[in-house]
Amino acid sequence: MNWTTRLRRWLVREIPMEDLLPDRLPEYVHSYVYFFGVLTLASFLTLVLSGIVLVIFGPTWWHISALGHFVNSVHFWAVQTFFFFMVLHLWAQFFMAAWRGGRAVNWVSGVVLFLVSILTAFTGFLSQQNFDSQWVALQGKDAFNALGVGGFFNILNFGQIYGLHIVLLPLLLAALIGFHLYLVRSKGVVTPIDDPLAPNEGAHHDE
Amino acid sequence: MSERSSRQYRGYRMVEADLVKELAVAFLVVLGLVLLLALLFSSPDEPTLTAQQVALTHPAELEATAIHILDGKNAIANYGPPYNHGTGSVQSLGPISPQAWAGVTVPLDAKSVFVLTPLRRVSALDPALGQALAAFQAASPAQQASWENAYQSALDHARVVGGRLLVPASASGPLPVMMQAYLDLARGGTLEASINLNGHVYQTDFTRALLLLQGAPLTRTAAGQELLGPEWGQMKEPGNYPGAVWLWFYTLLYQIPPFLTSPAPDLLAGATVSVVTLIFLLIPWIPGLRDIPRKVPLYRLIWRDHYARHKRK
Amino acid sequence: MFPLTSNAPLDFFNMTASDLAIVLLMIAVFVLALVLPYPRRRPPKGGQP
Repeated sequence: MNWTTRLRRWLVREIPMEDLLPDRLPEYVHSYVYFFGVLTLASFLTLVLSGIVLVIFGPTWWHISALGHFVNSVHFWAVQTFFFFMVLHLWAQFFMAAWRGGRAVNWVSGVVLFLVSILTAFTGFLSQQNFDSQWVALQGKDAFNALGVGGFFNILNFGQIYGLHIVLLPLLLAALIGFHLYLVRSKGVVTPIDDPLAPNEGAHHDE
Repeated sequence: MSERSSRQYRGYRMVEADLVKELAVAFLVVLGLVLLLALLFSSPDEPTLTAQQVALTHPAELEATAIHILDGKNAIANYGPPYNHGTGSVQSLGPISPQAWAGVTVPLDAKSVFVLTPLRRVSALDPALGQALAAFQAASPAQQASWENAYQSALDHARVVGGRLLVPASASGPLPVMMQAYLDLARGGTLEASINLNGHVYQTDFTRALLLLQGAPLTRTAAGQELLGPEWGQMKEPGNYPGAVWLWFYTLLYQIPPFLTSPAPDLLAGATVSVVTLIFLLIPWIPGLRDIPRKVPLYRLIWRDHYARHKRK
Repeated sequence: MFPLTSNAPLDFFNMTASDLAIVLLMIAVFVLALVLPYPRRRPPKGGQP
C-alpha cells in the first residue's frame, strides 16, 4: 500500500474542506459568547506578530529604543487580551457544557492550551531581562526546585528560557490551537442543553 | 456541507456564516484595542538590581552577603539540590522529596563562585589582596570561622562616611582587605560578569550571577515595590500594571494555611495545583462537576432564541 | 503608568487595583455577552439543506 495515498485518503475523509471552513452554521449558534474563541485567536495572532518584531531585533533592543518599547507594550497588552478572552471563552464553554456529545477531548485540549499558555507567559516574563525577570526567576526557582525539576527546567538560564519562549512553546501553542479548531469543526458546534429538537432530550424541554 | 456535517446538523435550520471574515474583523478589533492600550499605558521596564547598585547604596549589605557565603549561612551556600549538598532549602512531605531525589544537577560551590574566584582574578592588580587570599586559604576552617564571626560582629557597627564603609577594627585576619576589594570590585560594575565567567566568550546562562543577590538585597528592593509573596507578588508586575492574573489560584494558596505555615510550601502548593488541574481537566467525566452547567442555567440565556423558537414543537 | 492606583494591595484579598479591575471587567463583558440581543442571521441562499 502506498503510504502517501493512504495519508491523503485519510485526510480527505477526516478533514473535508467544507467542514474545516464551513459557510453555514446551525441557527442555535446565536449569541455573543461565541465570539470569545475567535477573539482569543486574534490575540494570539497579535502576540505572534509583535513577538516576531521583538525577536528580529533581539532581547536588548526594546530596553534602549522607543519604538522597541512600544512594540513590547503591544506584546504586553496582547498577553492581557489573550488571557482575558481565553478565560471568557472557558466560562462560556463551561456553562454550555460543551464537552457533551463526544466532545470531551476538545475540553481537554482547551485545558492543555490554557496550561501551555500560562507556561508561555511565564517564560515571557523571564525573558524580559529587567527587574521583573530577575525577581520572578529568583522567587520562582524555589517552586521548581522543590518539585525536583529546577535543574532540568532552570528558570535562571536565560538561553534555555528564551529559546522555549520564542520557538518551542509558540509552535506547541499553534499546533494545539490547530488541533482544538479541527475538533470543533469535525465534531460540529455543541447542541443546546435540553434541546427541544433533539429526539432524546425533547421530552423534557418545556419548563 | 459534507455528508458528516449534514448528519450532525440534521433537523436544524442553517444560517449563513463567514468565519474568515469574523477572524479578520476580530483581529482588527484586538489589534486596535492593543495599540490603543500600548499608546495610552505603555509597559513596565524596571532596570535589574545590580551588585554595583547594592555596593553603592547598601555596602554593608553586600559585605554581609559575602561573609555569609563564606561562613555557609547564606541561603544559596546552604541551599541543597540542585545547587549543592546543603539542607537549608530542601522541601519534603514525609518521605516524599522530589528535590532530594533529583540531586545536584546545577553544581555551584558558593564560596568559590561568588567570592574567592572573583577576588583571585583581580589579585594580580593588588599584591595586598593576593597575600590576604593566601592567608585566608591557608588558615584552618576553625580559624576562618573565627575571623568570619569577628568580621560579622564588626559589620553590625559599620557606618558609611563620605561614601566609604567604615568597619570597626576586629580580630578578623585578612577579611577586611578581602571585603574592601570585594566592595571595590562590585562598585566597579564587574562583579556579576566575573561570577558568571565560564571560560568562553559566549554566555547565555545567568544562573550564578542572578543567585548572588537573591537574599536581602533583592527582597528589600521587591518589598519597596510591594512584590513579596504575602502581597501576592507572584502574579504582580512592577509598577501599577496588571500582572499574571491567571495565577490567582496558585498565589492564593500561599496566603492560607496549611501552605502559609508549612515547611514545604512550594511542594505542597505544587501538589495541590496538580491535583486541582487534573480535576479541571477531567470535568467532563466527573459527576456533580459536569452537572453544574445544568443547575446554573446560564445556557438558557445563551440559547434563549433557540428555545423560544422551538417552544411549541 | 497604568493609572488605576498604586501597586499597594487593596484591603480586599490583597489584590492590586489593576488586577481587580480586570476581573470586574471580565465579569461585565461576560454578562453583556449573555444578555445583549443578538442580530438575526440570514438564512443561506438556496434554502435549507
